[in-house]
Amino acid sequence: MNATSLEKSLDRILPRVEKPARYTGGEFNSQVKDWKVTPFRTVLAFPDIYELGMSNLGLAILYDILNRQPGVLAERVYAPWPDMEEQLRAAGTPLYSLETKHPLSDFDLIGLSLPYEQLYTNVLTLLDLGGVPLLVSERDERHPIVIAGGHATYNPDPMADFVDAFVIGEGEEVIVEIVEAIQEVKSQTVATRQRSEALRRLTQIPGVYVPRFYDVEYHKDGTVARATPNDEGIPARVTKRILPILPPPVTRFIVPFVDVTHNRAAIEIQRGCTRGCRFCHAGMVTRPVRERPVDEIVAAVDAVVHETGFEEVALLSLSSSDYSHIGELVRAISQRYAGQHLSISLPSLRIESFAVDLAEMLKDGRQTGFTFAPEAATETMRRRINKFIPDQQLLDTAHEVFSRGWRTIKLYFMIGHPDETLDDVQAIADLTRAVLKEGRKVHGKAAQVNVGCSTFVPKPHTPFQWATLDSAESIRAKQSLLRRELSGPGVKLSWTEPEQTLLEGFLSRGDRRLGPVILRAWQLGAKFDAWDEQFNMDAWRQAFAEHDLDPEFYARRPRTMNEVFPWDHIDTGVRKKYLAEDYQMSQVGETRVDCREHCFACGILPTFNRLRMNTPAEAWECPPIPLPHRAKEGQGGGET
Amino acid sequence: MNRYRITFTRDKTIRFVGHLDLAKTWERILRRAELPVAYSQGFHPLPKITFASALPVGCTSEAELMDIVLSGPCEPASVMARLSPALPAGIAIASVVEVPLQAPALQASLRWAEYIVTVETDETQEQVESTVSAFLVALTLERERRGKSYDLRPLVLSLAIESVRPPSTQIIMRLLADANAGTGRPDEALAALGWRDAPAQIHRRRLGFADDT
Repeated sequence: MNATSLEKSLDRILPRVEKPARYTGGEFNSQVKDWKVTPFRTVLAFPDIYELGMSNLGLAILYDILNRQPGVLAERVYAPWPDMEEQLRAAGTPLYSLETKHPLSDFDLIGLSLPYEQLYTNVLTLLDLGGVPLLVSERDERHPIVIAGGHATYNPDPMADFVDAFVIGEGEEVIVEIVEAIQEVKSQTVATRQRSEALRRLTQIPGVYVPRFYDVEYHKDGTVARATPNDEGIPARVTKRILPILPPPVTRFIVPFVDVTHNRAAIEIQRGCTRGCRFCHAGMVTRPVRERPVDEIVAAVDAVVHETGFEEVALLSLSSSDYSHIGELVRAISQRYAGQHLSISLPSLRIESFAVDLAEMLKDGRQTGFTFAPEAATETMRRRINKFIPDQQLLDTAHEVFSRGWRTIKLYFMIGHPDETLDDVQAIADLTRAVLKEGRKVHGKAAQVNVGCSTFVPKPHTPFQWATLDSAESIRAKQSLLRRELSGPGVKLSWTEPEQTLLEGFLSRGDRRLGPVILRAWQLGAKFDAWDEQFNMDAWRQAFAEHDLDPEFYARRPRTMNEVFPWDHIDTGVRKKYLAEDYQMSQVGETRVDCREHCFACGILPTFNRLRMNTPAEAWECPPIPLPHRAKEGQGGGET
Repeated sequence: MNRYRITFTRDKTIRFVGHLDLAKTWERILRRAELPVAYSQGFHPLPKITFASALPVGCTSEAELMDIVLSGPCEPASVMARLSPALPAGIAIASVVEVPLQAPALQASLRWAEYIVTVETDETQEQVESTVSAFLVALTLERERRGKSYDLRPLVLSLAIESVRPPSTQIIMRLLADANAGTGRPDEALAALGWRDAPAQIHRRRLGFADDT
């Protein structure tokens, strides 16, 4: 189907679907390059709806980088909502890119963003509707190469049947290397061998994992025995890519016509986190911490406003309060934009009164809520997860927030931490009530506390990768306790359905054998798994049963400390030995301080030893480490 | 403060962008253009931008009108020059003129909107003529909009057949667009003509105001 007949078909389809503007493109700053004269064509795909995909910073960065390359174009596609999918299928119209309306099968490269596991089934929808064979093994030189990156791909093997190559780590440099490598192979190789040659070539790029070059063997009990390269010259482990210094941020964001989830520009002020919360996947896989200079951020805000016209700019990081120059940055921005009708949001603030000072400086007439994430409410649990905020500090901060005019506080808690009891959960309710009491002292009945209580899911590459997911009965009991204790005016509680949590649980720590399960669940109707109204656990249960596998095996099986994990051949730079040590500390209630203050030898420095040596000392927030230690570990980067 | 009247067009690219989203799009266009837009006073200041009439979703237009207030004088030509590079695909500016700050609001003086509609239908000239005249001779046409009954007939000021060339027919319809007396919707008029489900392109080509001659 060519672009004109596709447009014609859309004229009929679009008036029949919900929110058709998400399927039409044309937004300001979207880049429409000339298809005919651009030799290398990529499409960046986000396997959920437009509103979420447009809020994804990673894809915005890659879109900008790729479109700046001469001879390369990058377009976009998002998952069509089921009504649109139905219309496309009925009309025999393929899923197409927003920029030039080409079917996905017409591109050289499809780049998938996989920030979380609930998107896996939607990947199959995208490929299928786009005219691309679902299985890696069914593709040939006529088909695009399918790559994927994002935080979920630190455990890539569950999606190995569908994705030709995974990018492990930061994509800014490696995406360009991938495009160059594929182009070179195409120009030098006969058509029939291009695909296999290109994939082999990708294995030579640090940070790229090509599953077909690895064989996985299993023990009788279903655990992994080993993953080994099956060909010459393939690295035994794939180490993630990082940038030694963050490049200047993207400012030419696409400006959507319609309202999207985060309808704003986003500037990353730092990458990585030194807090070491044991449940936090992002905190473990994004090390080391690298900050952007204040003047670079201020200049970027200027450029963003001019280039996009957004009325809101978010300053992003995993922990904004830890950014070394946060006070200076906030002062500079608030002075510069006072009275300019620009709102600056600063999420992820630590629970302390300084956070309230910062937010107050940025407040431009708008009274939005204040969000804190204590995660746990008892001393035992806080020690276990290594996130320690005393109750009194939270209450004092809450008092400060309310007394400076905010009426709503949102609190994030997590239930299901290892060895959590009902008393620990009761404490969440009690603490919430105590925060509300602070609010009522100031605002009376107008005070509001919103509690987001998610369920902890053990993640690969974290100290809790050995832990079990809490049982369904236990989760239900804890949630009903919270519902009972937090009913009534002034508090709004939200939680995650236990079945949703199970899905995240088995996909997070799954292995290659889940490929057929994902395919089957999708065939049985599983899609948009992150959406309560679409979520279809029956399809998943049937798919597991048909393949003689058990979701509980992945989510709730106790793991021994020496178990080989399906993701052990992926190296985040943080060693398994370090994670094990941290897990054991957790069990005895020992905490670790912020690693800006003290290096615990997680493994990042020896892994990236050479990069570190060629980068100015102040570029990374790792403190200097004792020399003998460094010399010893510097030899064998990458061991576990 | 100075007030400027902008006439702009909306093409197919943005036919599904609703009125509120269009308003936000304009706020962003003005911010990109770095024009000194005046804001309302109060707790929740809003930029002084007003539109004559919301364009129904799915339609294109060559006659959209809006007023903006700037905090100081600026040559209309230079307002236009500043805006041009800030426009997204789908919006083009036809003209910018300065109007008195105290001129009546666009919405208050709007009276009618004229659409040219291209419908896919195999009906012949005679069939179309009889459909249109049956509509026009009716004294009332009770219809429902969001569960409420209303009379469609007085909302349609005129209907004219532009061309009948099966498989497509063009009709020009002038519909009431009056803040007090009511607003006709082209899709509702089409439905009453028997073309509820027929694919149609609806294009607004003119807005009529009280002070128009």
